[in-house]
Amino acid sequence: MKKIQFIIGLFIIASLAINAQEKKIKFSKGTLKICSSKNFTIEGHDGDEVIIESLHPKRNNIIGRGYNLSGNAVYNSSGKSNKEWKVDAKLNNIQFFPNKKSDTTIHLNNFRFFTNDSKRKKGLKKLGKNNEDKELGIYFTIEQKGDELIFKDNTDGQLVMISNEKYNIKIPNSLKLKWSTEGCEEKNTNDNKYFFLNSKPSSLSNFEGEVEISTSLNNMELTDVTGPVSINTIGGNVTVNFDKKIPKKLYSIYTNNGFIDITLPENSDIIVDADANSVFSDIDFNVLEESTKNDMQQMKLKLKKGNVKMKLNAGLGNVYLRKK
Amino acid sequence: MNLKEFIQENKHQFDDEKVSLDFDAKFERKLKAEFHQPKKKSKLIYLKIVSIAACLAIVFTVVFWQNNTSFTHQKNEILANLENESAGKRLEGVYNFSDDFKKEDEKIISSLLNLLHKDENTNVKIATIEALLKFPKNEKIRLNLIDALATEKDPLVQIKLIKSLSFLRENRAKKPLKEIINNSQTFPIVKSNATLAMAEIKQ
Repeated sequence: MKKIQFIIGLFIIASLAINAQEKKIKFSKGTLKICSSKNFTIEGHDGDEVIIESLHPKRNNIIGRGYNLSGNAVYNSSGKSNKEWKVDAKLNNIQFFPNKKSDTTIHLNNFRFFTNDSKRKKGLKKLGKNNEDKELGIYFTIEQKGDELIFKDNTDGQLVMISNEKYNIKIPNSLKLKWSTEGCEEKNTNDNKYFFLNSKPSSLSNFEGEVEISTSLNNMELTDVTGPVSINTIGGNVTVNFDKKIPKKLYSIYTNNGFIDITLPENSDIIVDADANSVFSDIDFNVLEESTKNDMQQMKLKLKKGNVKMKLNAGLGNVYLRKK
Repeated sequence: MNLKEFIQENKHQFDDEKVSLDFDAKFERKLKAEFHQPKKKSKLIYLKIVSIAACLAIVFTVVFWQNNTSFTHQKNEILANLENESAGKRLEGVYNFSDDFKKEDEKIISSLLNLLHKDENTNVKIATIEALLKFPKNEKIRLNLIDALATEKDPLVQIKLIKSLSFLRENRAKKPLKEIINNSQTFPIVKSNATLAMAEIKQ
């Protein structure tokens, strides 16, 4: 019985793997600019192609006017009408949940839904260059300008969205990565109310090129990224792991009130400047300087010769330095 | 004629009264050597002293020159890094300046001020502000920080500038602070920092 379950499980995995769709772009020199708040898992590799894989179900049948709807979304309409309604893109149905005893008429001011006959187009593709990416389940625009490859959100609407979009991207180690979750235009203060919220952190792993990450709320997770790395965030948390590698070039992390959590092997050759509410560690550092200013801790720590600089400023948050 | 007679007869020919030319030269050499020796010795000692002094002078100049070149080398390296198109290199330049160089060099400071106003990387800007804060008495730096606060849009950099100017107790920052507080576009977290700074400066 167990065996059968196992085989069924294998089949499911296999069919999932087949479902995963890839887009390959030959690009190995220059900068990859990601201007999107969507959830990305990025990995470095030694090839010369950028490979995008969507890990979420394809959107099929819902067209929201003026808004991008994707996957499962739950909206609570605020204001007078106490309606809560749910859009399930995968199953192509819309459910309404009237909260209290009230009328069941629902006013959809901004939305218009079309139900397409999904069976009829089976096996066919929507034509047009823009639709190629959508067919692959890729819902952001891809643009190449000079030596820059740019991934951008379609920012038509101004809305906070809960999205289950998830992308796996493999990028050549020879690239430079510039990743901004607020779009790449100048961060114009409060105006830009549009972003995707994900509880899962976006991640970058096994990358040897230069990295610049800028985000306001998204959490970031880096594994075996050798540097140089610069990350800044207002409220996001930054987790850095060195599993098979050690830091080789400058790390600079600023967060206003998130935490910075770094795990590294004790044979790393680093000098750490940590400014935080508190600094915690189980590593046997050589403490060069320490001071406390306005209840904020400042530590200068060294391992080995201190060849690689790590500048960690967690603002009101804490810094954690863990032994691997 | 026996041998004795012959010798006696030719005595003057056997007895060479004249000193040989060879001897003359030898004598003269010996004489010269005898007379000039002490003079030569003193010259040698003098030469030795001069050469030692010269050596010392050379060593000193080399050390000084090397110091000087390593200084200008370090300075040029920092300046080159500050203008590099890679943000990682620019950061390296700023950090090297604030960690190792530490001198109030006009050229580097004007390069840093340029980054303060124009750099597109948030980390570079924040690191630059930290580096500039090491010279709180520099009026040019103070004025530039106030100017930057009036124009800066990036919330993280705004917060850093606000904290810095409050740390410097810069009274002239009140005007840009007021503008930030009254601007509806400002991030709430920036606003609260500005309000706090305003109160601290007024104290």
